Amino acid sequence: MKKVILITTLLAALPGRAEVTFTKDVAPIIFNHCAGCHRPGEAAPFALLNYNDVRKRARLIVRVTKDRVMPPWHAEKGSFVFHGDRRLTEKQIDTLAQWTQAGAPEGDPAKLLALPKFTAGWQLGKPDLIVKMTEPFPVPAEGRDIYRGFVVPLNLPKDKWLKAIEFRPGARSVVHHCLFSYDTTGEARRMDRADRQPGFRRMRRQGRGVGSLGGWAVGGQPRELPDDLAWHLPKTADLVLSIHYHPSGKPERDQSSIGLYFTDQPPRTAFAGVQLPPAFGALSGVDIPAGNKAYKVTDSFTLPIAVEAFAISAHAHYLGKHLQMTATLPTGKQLNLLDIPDWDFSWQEQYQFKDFIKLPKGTRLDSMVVWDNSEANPNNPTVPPVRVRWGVESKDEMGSLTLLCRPAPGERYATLTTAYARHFTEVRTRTTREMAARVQGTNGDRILDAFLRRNDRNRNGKIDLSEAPRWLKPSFDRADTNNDNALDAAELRAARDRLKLNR
Amino acid sequence: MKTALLILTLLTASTKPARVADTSLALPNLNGHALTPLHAKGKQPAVLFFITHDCPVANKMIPEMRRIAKGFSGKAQFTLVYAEPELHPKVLAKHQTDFSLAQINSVHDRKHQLVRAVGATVTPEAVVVLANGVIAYRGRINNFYEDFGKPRRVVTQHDLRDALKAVLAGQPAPKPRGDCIGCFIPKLSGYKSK
Repeated sequence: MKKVILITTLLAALPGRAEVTFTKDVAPIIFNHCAGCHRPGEAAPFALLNYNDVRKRARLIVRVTKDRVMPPWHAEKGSFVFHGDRRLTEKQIDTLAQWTQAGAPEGDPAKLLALPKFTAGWQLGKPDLIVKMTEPFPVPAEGRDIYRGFVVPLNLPKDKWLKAIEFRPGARSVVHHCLFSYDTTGEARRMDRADRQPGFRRMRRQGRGVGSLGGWAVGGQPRELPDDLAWHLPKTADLVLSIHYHPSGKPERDQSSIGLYFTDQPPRTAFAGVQLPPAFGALSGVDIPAGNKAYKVTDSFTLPIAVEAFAISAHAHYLGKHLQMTATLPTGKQLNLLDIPDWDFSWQEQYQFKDFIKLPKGTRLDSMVVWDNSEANPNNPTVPPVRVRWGVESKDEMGSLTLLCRPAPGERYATLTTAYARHFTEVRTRTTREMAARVQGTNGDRILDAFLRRNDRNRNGKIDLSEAPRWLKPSFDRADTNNDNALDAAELRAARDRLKLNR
Repeated sequence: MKTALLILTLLTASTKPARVADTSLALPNLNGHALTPLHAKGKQPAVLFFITHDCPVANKMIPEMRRIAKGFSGKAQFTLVYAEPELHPKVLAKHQTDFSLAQINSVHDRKHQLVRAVGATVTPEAVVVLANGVIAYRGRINNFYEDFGKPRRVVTQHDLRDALKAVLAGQPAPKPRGDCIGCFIPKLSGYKSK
C-alpha cells in the first residue's frame, strides 16, 4: 500500500502534470455549473461561492457528479443540443475527483475567477403582467410529495400572444417544479371553490379550452419561444399552475409569482404538439402488473408534412423508468430526439432544442415508455406493489413524449393535425381490439377450467374417457396427445386452440 | 454483570472487537449546561443523531428523528449533534426553531469530540452507545435514502428502530442494511482524502 502511495505521489510530481487547484481548475466548473442555484436565495440548500464552501463538500461533490445526480439533467446526450444543458463533461468530473484526491488545494487566491453576474429578480426583464397565487399554500414538514393545482385569474382585456412565462417560487426549499396551462372552461375555478384547502387536487379536464403553456423545474431558466412563435392566450383564460412540492423537514408556506411576457406580433404559423402515445397513454391500455420491472408501451407516427421541431418533453408518474423518442428519416438515418433512461417524476423538464430540427415529410417518430412496478424501484408509491392502470392520480400512471413543431415553410398545419387526429383514433381502435381479445382469452380459460372441474368426477385432475360427455367422445383420441386415456387441462386447451384455428 | 454484558456483546457483535467510546465525555448543551451525550442514566443506551444544518437529507429526516426520540422516551437518551465547527450560534438557533427541535438535547460539536469518539462520517447518521461505552450501532436511520437523489416514496426498513428494539431487549443490534447516504462530515483541519 505504501508503495502505491509513493508511486502515485511521484507520478503527481512529474513535470507536465500540473497540480489541480480550486482557483485554476475547480472554480470555473463550480461557478459556471453549480453557483446559479447554490447561492443564497436560490433553490439549493447550501452555497458554493468560495473555496471554503466547496472544500467542505468536496467528497459529496465528487460523489454526486460521478453519479450524475448533480447538476440535475436527466436527458442522455442525443443527436441535438438542448438549451441550458447542465451536464458536466467526463473531463470536468475527473478534474473534481483529482482535486479532491489531492487534498483539495486552493491555489493562488489572487487568480480566482470572478463569480458570474447573476441577474437579480426577473431573469427575462420586467414582465408585461405579474400575477401571484391568490393565497399561500401550506406545505407540511414531511410526508409524501404534494401535487397541487392553483387557478390564477388573468383578467386579460383582450386575446394575447404569449412569448414566455417566468416562474418565481415563493418557498424555494419546497417548490420543485411547476407546469403551466390555461383554462377557458371555468373548470379550474370550480375545482378550486369545491376544495377547502387553497388550490385543488388535480385538473381533470383536457381538450378544448384547456392548453399547455410549458413549465419550470428547479435549476431551469425561463426562455422565450423561438423565432416568432407564441402561444395564443384567449382573453377569458385563467392561468393554471400544477405545482409539485417536496416537504423539506420544516413547515413552509408557498405563494409563488408568475411573470407573463406578451408580443403584439402574431406568429406566421401555429405550432403543434405531436404526443406519442396520444392522450398521455390513456388510449394505450396501460395496465402494469404488480412486480413487473419493465412494462413497455410504444407508438409510432409518420409525419405527413415536413416540420421544424423546437422542443420536446416527457411525462410519466412515479413508476416511469425509461422514456425515449427517435426520428427515422426517409433515408433510414435514425436520430435520437430525447432519451431519459432513468426517469424521475420530480424533474419534468421542457427540453428546447438550440436550433430548429428539420424533419422531412415521411419521417417516422417512435416513442417508448417503460415503467418499473417492482419493489426495487425506490419511486414506487405502493409497497408491496399493486396492479397499476392509466389514470390522472399520482398513484395511477401516464406516459408519453411530446414533440413541439411547426410546419416547414410551404406546408399546411391542417395536414399535420388531421393526420395526428387519425392516428389518435387508430391507437384507440387498436387498443380496444387488443383488450377485447385479452378478455376473451381469459374468459375462455375460465370456462375450460370450469368444464374440467365439472366433469372430473374421480378428482384426478383429468377427464377420463368414461367421464367425457358424449359430444367429446368422437374427438377424444385426437385430443389425447400423450395417449393416457385422459385429457388434462393442457390437452383440452390445445384442442380448443386447434378448433379456433380451423374455424 | 457489566463485564459479562461487555464480553457477550463483544462475542456476538462480530469477529472485529466492538468500538468502545469514553462515556465520560462532557459537552455543553446549547444553554451552556454540561451534558454527557454518551452516558445515559442507569443502563439506558445513548443515541446520537449527527446532523449538519444545511444538509437536505438530514433536514428531511428530522421529523423521523423527533418521532424516534418521542417513541423511545424514557428508554434511551437522545442527543442531536451539530457536526459543523464553523456553524454560527445564530444560524444554529434558527435551525432549532425552524425544525422544532426544542424537545431534543442538542450539542454543537465544535471540536469534533463526539465525531471522533464514535467514528461518525456522514449526516444524518445515528449511533447507539450502550451503558458500558460499547458502540452497538452506527449507520442510517432508515432506507428513506438508499442512493443520492433517490428518496424512497415508501420507507420499508427502519434500521435504527430495529437496533434500538434489539438493544433494549438485550440482544445485539442488527447491522444497518444499507449505506448511510447524506453529507460527508469534513475533517477538522481542512480536507484530507482518506
